[in-house]
Amino acid sequence: MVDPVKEILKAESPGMELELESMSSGKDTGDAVWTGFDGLDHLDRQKLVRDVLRSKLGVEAQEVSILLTFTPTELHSMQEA
Amino acid sequence: MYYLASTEHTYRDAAREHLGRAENEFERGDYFLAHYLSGLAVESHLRAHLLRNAPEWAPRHDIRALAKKSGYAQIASAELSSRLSENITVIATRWRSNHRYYSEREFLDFMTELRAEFNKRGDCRKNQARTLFNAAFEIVERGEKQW
Repeated sequence: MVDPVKEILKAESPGMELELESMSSGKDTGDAVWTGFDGLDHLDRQKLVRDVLRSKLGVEAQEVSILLTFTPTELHSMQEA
Repeated sequence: MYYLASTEHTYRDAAREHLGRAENEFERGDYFLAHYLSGLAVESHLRAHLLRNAPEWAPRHDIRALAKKSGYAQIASAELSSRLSENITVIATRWRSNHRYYSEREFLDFMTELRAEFNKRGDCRKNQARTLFNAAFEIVERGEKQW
């Protein structure tokens, strides 16, 4: 599922950087870094990516488990710490 | 020299204890400490999952990396994935292990830069601490139920 998820999110969210990996359960986990998250609260970020995945993958969107959503600025701040 | 190695069980216990202390400090009005202990509870809980699932991986105080490598995501049901993702992102962006070295002023500057809770009414520091505690509580509670 990692490749289709990446393709869909990158197509719908230009410039989004994704680090995803499959777990032993078959589900995917990772994070998405995108300037488009700037100004959105964490609830809205989740809604945005989950809605996109549901619209394209249907029930298979449930195979995406924990997906963290950061802006590039937030990622930079975390990496500096 | 006496050295006690942490285990998945000691990390689990520590997470629960830190969360309890965070709640106490919130009630006392020490929002800075409540914030710090909430994040520490999540780090401890994720380390417990890490030791159980991937003990070969050496962690840093990095919530983003711990969330990905610890195997915690295995416990997230379809219904909870979005909520837990939201909560872990909140902790990862707003908490740093080195906050323990921060003065109150530095901490406020850090949160101001993040614009955390800027749109909410009331005491900003209290709102920030409550948000972090609630996120930590859900992460640890769900992890405990699925352990």
